[in-house]
Amino acid sequence: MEQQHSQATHLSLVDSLDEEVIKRHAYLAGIFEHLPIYGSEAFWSAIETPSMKSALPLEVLVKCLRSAVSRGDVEGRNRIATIIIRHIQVSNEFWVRRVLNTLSLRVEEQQAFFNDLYADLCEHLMRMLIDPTRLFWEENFQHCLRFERKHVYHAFMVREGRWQHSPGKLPERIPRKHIDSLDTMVVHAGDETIEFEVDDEQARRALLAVEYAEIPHLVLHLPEKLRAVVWLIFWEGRTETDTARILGVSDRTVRKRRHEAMELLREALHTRREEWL
Amino acid sequence: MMNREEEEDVLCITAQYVAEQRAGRQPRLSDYLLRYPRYASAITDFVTYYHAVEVDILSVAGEEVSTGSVLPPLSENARLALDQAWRRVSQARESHESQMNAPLTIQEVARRRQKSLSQLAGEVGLSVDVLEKLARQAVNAATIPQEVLRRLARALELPPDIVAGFFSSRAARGSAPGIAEATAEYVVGEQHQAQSFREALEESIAPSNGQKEAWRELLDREGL
Repeated sequence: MEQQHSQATHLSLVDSLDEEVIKRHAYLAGIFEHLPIYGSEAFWSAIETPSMKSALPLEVLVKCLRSAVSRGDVEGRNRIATIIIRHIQVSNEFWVRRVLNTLSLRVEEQQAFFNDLYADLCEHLMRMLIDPTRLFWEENFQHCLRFERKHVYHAFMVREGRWQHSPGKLPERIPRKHIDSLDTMVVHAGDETIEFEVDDEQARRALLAVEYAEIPHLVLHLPEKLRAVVWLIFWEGRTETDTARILGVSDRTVRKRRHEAMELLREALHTRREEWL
Repeated sequence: MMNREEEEDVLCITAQYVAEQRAGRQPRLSDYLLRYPRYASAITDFVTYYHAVEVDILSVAGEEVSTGSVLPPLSENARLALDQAWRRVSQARESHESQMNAPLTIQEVARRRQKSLSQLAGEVGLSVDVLEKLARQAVNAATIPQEVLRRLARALELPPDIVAGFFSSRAARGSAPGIAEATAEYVVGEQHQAQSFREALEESIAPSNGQKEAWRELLDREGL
């Protein structure tokens, strides 16, 4: 009953979001259609207005950039790309620093890594922006930006050999219920008994040091098939049976994945502890 | 590996998740997995990344931006990254072009844009037989008017330099003196076999006299 109500609520929310998307689409199309002629003085002053209040939406700027590309106007393309980057540079630089903060870098490495990652991000963005088949950039720029940063993040971590490493940042705490499940988890599955123990004091301190908000970061570094299980059980508080139903797998598969994930998380937390101590 | 259509689906779905989150509705991953089981892995991947890395970036960065009502100048870091990005993009494109030797054809792109060759010919103002000659590189690229490239670029929604690549690598060589000099003999040799655009136009019986006259004027204007 509760499940049905939850799904019905979700559907109505999604419908209302769809309506918002349609409205936004019409709004953006209207702005683009009423822009001054491409290349005119008025066009450039609309593109390059310094006022944040009257700035064109990023989605419209993408359309303008693609228009410059289709005309072969390299100078115009670069001008518009620069404006787009100016609009998002604060969040991009924040993102680059955040990603690098999860690595243990020496001071002398930091600037080089910063430049490298920022250039990777900009390269990915430019490729997407000049590709006229990437239509969603003209509808929801910020979301596409998030998605692209995700690709760059993954590629960067893999390249640097950091994908399975635990983050080096020293976090604050983890809620007690999560520590308990990591600390002494005993699962009985038929004849199978799986036991986890985190019995040394240093490991406990490392676990205590994990902030709730850090869980997604740890989960992110788990193999793909384990992520949903950990997320549903630890983040949403679902039972194993419920998780199995949602994922369309057996209870036993969920237990095995949970076991595997816990082992990996423990390793990650031990690495964190070693970095911390 | 997802195709483009699936990628767009995942973008739309996860955009809904983020919109709900930003509206303070606390969406649940499980609802999305139940609703879109086909994309379960991609949705989980994004949602995990979003909560690990992105969830508060816009508000933190947004606050920084909105403190001033003026667009900040390009930062030194952004300038360096952007310069490097453009360099890499153009290097990759050059290398792709030289490796693939104009891998795309007019027909392929027209098909992707859901246009027949005759529809495309109509939009560009050429007859089908002339366009077909252009497509199979039977016309000397150096004799094709820029206006043709511009019209094709508009119709195919591609940059003119990519369109120029359809007519063999000779067009590109012509615009790069160093390479053109090195390959002059090869180009001259091939040019003997290719018609000029003007010859192809005159030979065609499809265009009306008016159309032919318009193209002649254009060719004269471009000195071809």
